[in-house]
Amino acid sequence: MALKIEARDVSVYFGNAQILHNVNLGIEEKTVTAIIGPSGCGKTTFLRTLNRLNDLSPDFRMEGEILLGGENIYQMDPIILRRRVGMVFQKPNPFPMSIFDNVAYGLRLQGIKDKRLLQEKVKTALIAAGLWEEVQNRLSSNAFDLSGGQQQRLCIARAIAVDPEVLLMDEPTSALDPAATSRVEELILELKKNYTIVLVTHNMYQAARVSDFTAFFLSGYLVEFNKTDIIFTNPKDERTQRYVTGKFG
Amino acid sequence: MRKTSDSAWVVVSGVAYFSAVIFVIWVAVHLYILSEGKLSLEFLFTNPTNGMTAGGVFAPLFGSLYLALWVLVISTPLGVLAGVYFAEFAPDNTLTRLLRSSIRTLSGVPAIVFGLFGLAFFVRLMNLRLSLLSSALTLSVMNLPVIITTTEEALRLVPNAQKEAAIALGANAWEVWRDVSFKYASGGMLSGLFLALSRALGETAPILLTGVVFYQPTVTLDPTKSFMALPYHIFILATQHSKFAEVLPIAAASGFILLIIVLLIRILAYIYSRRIQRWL
Repeated sequence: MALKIEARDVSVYFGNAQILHNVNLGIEEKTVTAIIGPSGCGKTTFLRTLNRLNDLSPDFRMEGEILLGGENIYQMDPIILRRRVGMVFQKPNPFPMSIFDNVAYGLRLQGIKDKRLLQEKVKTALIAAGLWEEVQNRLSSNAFDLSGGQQQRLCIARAIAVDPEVLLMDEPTSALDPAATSRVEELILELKKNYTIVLVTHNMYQAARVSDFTAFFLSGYLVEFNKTDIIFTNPKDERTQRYVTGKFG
Repeated sequence: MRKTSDSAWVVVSGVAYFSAVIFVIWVAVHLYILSEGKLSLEFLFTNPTNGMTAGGVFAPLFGSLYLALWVLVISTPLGVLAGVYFAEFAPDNTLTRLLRSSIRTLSGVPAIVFGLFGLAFFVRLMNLRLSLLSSALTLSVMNLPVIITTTEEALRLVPNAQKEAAIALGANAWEVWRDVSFKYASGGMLSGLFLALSRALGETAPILLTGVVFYQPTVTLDPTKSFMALPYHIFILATQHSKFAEVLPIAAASGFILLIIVLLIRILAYIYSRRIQRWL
C-alpha cells in the first residue's frame, strides 16, 4: 500500500520547549491510524502539524519534513493543504449557522455558488456522516439545536464535504456519551473506505476497536508504531506494554 | 441557610435593578412635567426665537445629531481598525503593552482636558477654528480609547475553536475575520460605538471649547462653521439665561428630548445584541 503521509525526522518546538523529538512515521492510504499516549505526550501537536494548524502559534518551529502524497507540505499553500487534509476537533465546533450552511461552508470558500451543486454535495456529506436521516427535514435550523453527538457528526460532514484525502480527528469522541461515541466509531470504520484517517485518542479501547495501525507517543517521542493488534497483544517496547495494559497513563 | 442567602441576593439585585429603571423614569417624568406641554412636533422642527424665550430646538437638535454623525464617521474606522490590530496582529512586546496602557489611561482623562486639547490642537494649531469639525475631532479623540478597547475585548472573546474550524476548512485570514471573528464580536463592538455615540450627543465640555455657540438659529451642513448643540443649549437656558423662569419649560423639554434620544440608542444597541446572542 502507498504511504499517504510521511513524517521524516519531525521535531517541534514551542519557544524553547521541544514538544516532539525526531518523529518518523508513515501513514498508509485508506487506513485508520490511531495515535495514543498519555496527556502531554505530543499526540495532538503531531496531528496539528499535519495540516499546519500549529503555524498559527507565533513561537512554533518545526524541523524535519512532512510529505503528503510525496509532496512537502511546507512547499504547498496552506489553504490548499487544509482542503486536502480535513480536521475534526475534540469538542464539536459547528458554526452558529444553519445545518446546511455549516456543511456548505467549505464548499462556498472554494467558490461554489451553484445551488443545485451545493445541495447535492451537502446531502452526500450528510449521508456519509450518517446524519442525513436525522436532519433532512430541518436543514435550515440552527446547528446548535442538535445534540452533542449530532453536532460532532455535523462537523465530520462539514470536513468531508470538501472531499479531502485525509481526515485528522483529535479525540473526536471525548465530549460525547457512549451511544454517540459508538456511532462516531462506526462512522470512522465506514469512512476509511474513502479517506485516510489519523485518529488521536486517549481511549485505548477505541484505538483497538477502530484502527489498523497504532502509534504510541510518550514525552514527545514516538515509542512504537505497528499494526494495532501487535501493539495491543505483542508490543516490542516495555513502555508500550505497560501503557496498553493500563499500568500507567 | 443557602436558600435564605440566595433569595436575599435575588431581592438585593432586584431592588438595585429596579431603582435604576425607576430613576430613569422619574427623571423623564419630572422633565416632562417641567416642560409644561412645550413638547410637540413643531417644537422639534422650529428654531429658538426671541432670545431663546420662544420657538423650538431645531438648531441645537440638528447640531447634536450632525455632530454625532461626524464623530461616528471619524472615530469608527480608526477605532475599530486599531482594536482589530491590537486583538489580532499586534506582537506582545514592550511597545504594544505601553500603547495599550496609554489607551486605557486616556479613557479616564476628564472631558474638559480633551476640550482644552481640542482648543490647543485642532482649533489653534491646525487652524480649524471654532467649528463643528474641531468639536467632532475632539470628541473622536475622546471616544477612540473606548472604541479601541471595546473592539479589542470583543475580539478576544471570539472562541478559538470557531476560528480553527474555519481555518481547518481552508479559510484565509480575511475569511476567518468575516465569517467568524466579526460575527461573534460585532455585538460588543457595536456597544462601544453606541457608547461613543451617546457621549457625542451628551458631552458638553469638549465642544464648549471647540465650536459650540449658545445662539445661532440657522442650520448648515458646512462642518467648518460653529453650531448649536442640545446639552449646551440646556446648560445656557438653565443657568445663564436672564429670564430663567420663562425658559425653564424649554430647557426641560430639550432635556427630555436628549434623554429620549440617548435612551433610543441604548434600546437599539440592546435589540441588536439580543439578536446576535439569539443567533449565536
